[in-house]
Amino acid sequence: MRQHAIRIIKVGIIQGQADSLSYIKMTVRVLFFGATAEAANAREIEISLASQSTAADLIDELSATNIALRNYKLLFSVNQEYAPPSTILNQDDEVAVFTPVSGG
Amino acid sequence: MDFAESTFEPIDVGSVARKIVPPECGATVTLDGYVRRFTKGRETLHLVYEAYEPMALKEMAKLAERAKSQFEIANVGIVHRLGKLEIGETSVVISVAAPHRKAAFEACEWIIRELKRTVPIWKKEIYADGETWASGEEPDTNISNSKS
Repeated sequence: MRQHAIRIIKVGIIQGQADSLSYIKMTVRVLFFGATAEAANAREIEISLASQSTAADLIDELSATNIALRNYKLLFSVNQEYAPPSTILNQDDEVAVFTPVSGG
Repeated sequence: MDFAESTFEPIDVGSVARKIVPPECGATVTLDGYVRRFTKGRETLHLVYEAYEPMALKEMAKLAERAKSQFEIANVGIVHRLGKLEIGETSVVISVAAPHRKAAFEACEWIIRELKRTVPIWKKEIYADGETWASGEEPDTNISNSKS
C-alpha cells in the first residue's frame, strides 16, 4: 500500500504535476504543551496534511485555522525526538510543537 | 544504576542520592533545586511545571548517559517534580556519584545546564498580578523554527 503511494508521488514529480501531491493525504497527531497548548486551546489534535508535508508546513496549516502559533519561537519533536522544521512527516507520526523548554 | 523519574508528589531529596551510591565511590554531589520566591524583584506565589513526560524521561536518561561518557563518574539520578509547587518546594534533584568529588561537581553542573536547555518541561510562574510561561533559553539554530 505504502510503496504504491510513493510510486505515484515520484511519477507526479517527474511529469511536473507537483500539485497532484496534495491529493494524497496523511494524518498526524499533534501535541501542544505550556504556551502552545494555551495558544491552540488544545493539548492534542489530529490533522490531515498533504503527503510529504514538513513540520514547518504543519505550522502553516495550523496558522491557517487560527491557531496563533506564529508569535512564538517554536521547537518540534517527531516521535519524541527533536526534529528541525524541514523534517518530512509521515502517516501517524506524533509531532509535538512547543516553546523553548524552561524546566529545572 | 542510573535512573530518571518525574513525579507529582514531593521529592525526598536524600533518597535520590542513596539510590545511586556504589561502594567504589567516594563522593556524591546532589543538587536540590527549589522554588524561589523572588525573581528579578518580582514575587512568585507558586509555580506549575508541565512535561511531555515520555520524551522528558528519554532526554533525562540521555543526559545521564552523556554525562557518564564525558566525566569520571559512576551513577546519575535525576528526578523532576511536576504540577503545582509552593515556594521552597524541591522542583528538581540531580545526584551524581563518583570516585572523586571534582568530577561529580562538574557533571552535576553540566547536567542541570543541559536539562534546562533540552528536557521538554515548562514552568509557569504565577505572580500576585498575573502569570506567564517562563521563556526558555535560545535553542540551537538547527532545531529552531526560522519562520517564527
